[in-house]
Amino acid sequence: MAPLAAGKLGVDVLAARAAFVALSFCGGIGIALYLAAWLVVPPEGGGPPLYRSALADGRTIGLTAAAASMLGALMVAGTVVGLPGPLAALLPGAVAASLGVVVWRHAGAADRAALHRAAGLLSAAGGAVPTRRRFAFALLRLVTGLVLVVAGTSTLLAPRHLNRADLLVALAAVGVVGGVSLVLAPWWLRLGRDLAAERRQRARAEERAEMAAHLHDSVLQTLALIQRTASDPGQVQRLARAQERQLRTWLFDHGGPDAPPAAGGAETLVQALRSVQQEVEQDHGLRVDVVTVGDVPLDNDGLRAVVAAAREAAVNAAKWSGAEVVSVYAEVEESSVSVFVRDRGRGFDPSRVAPDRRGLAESVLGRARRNGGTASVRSAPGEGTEVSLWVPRGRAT
Amino acid sequence: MGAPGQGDVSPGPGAGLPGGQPMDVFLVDDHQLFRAGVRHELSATGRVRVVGESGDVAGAVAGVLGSSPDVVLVDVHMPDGGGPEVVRQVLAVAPGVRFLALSVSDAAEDVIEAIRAGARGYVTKTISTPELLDALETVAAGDAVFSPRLAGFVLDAFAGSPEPVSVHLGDELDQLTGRERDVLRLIARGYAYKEVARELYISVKTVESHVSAVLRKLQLSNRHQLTRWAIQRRLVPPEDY
Repeated sequence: MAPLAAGKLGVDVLAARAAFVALSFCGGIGIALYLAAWLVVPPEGGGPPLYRSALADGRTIGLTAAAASMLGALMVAGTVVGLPGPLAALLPGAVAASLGVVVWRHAGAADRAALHRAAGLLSAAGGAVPTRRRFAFALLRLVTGLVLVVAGTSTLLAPRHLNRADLLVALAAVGVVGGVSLVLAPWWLRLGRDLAAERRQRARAEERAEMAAHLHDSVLQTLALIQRTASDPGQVQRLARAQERQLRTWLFDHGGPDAPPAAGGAETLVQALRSVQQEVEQDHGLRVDVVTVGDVPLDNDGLRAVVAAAREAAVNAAKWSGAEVVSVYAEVEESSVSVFVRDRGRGFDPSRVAPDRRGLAESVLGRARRNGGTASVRSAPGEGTEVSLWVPRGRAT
Repeated sequence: MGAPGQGDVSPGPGAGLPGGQPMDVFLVDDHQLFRAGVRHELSATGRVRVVGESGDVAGAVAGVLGSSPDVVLVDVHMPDGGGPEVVRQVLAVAPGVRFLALSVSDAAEDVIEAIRAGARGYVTKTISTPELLDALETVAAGDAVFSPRLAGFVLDAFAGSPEPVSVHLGDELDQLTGRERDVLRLIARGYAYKEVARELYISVKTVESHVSAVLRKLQLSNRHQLTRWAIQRRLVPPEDY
């Protein structure tokens, strides 16, 4: 804002900024002026200045009027009780606060973003991840600190108070604050470092605990189960395969069905296909190989229909084909998603499927087609079966 | 896993082994139990003679150089740099040796590293014995073994349109041709080489040469995205994709 105001008035930007800051220490006059300029000067790139929209908004005028009258009442009360100095000195600050409300309510997106960024920087300086809550705290801290500093300096510098003794007091205050900071600085630093070290250690311990818990819940349980079912090779194989898949996902993929849902709560295509893989492997005891290229959040009906159709196709392959492996391949392209489900089982003649066995046609193909996609089945006796699904990606939310 | 249906890729008469005598295989794996199992299963087929085995990098390099096998079956995860180190050290001295990488991991990083080191193919340890045998024979014949997963990785790594028509020499290493993409897509869908050939109306030999060309690009491409992609794939949780 300073550059803009400076530009309007034909003054050096740096000089304008310095003037604003210097004036801020006189009861906040600078801040009030700055905000007033913000309201009056047209924004960069043209458009009406803020005060126009502020004048058109009854609520803002009401709020400002209420704040102003309350402040006036406070000040009158202060004078009556006999606290004239500090309160009078804070008058510009009070005006600045009211103006601040008006600016905040009517600032454009760009201005708001700038304010947010400034506050975000301050909270990030604390080393914390900025969250909404922390952001609010940082803003509160910033405003309170500024008010204290401005009030303090204004009180000291108020003309009636300015004498030698006060300057000495001020110097003494600065000395005390500086001295205390110097003495305590190493201690603060150490405290900060200890805290960081402790955090790291805690994170490591948590990680170890999580790993132990995971191994116990999954691997140890499965090994126990395998020992008890050692006489049934099929069951052993199924258990081992399911466990292997799970452990592999956990170790190498940092994702999969156990992972928390992606940002926005939407599961992704890859995660959904992994769930299909696990389910079909567990329920039908055959291997499902899943290969994916790219990924996309599962955020529209078309994509969900494709996953459902793929599941149906894999289950069909498990039930009818006699194959030991089903291959699922999914490729995410710029504007569409293709999924192929293939087995090398006994296959069938698509033209000779009895009309009453409409499972495949209805649920697999119909589902995809109803959502603007295409679906086809290719099969021949002895050649295995491949179901191809294609759907446009649609508008992601 | 490997390539389901690699079993259907008949390596052709004399693939790897003119004359039909057993193929010489050297095993490198730090799990003694696993070596014993593979040795037993492969020997039982009568098509393989295990000419040596080793559980560490130094022993493997010396052993391979001393026995000149047709194929070295090498585990990716071993102490002292693992399989890729064995591959690099041997190829530095004897560039003709052929390696098939074997691992429990399906992580892109490991797959890509093994291939970049010079392995001609990659299979996981859950592969069935007939599939492993076919993969070994394919590699012994000088061809590349691309499992569906490896094909998927390559498509992913080379995804997106390559940087706009730069005319530098050697840029063809940084992108796949349309035909190579077609071949890889079908392999990723679970098609055996023979089936890919039939689908695209080309010969099995042509499929093999496409696959070998892709392998060469994987090994030689300077495309820095390749490494970055593999690392990202490992480090970035899916929600940040």
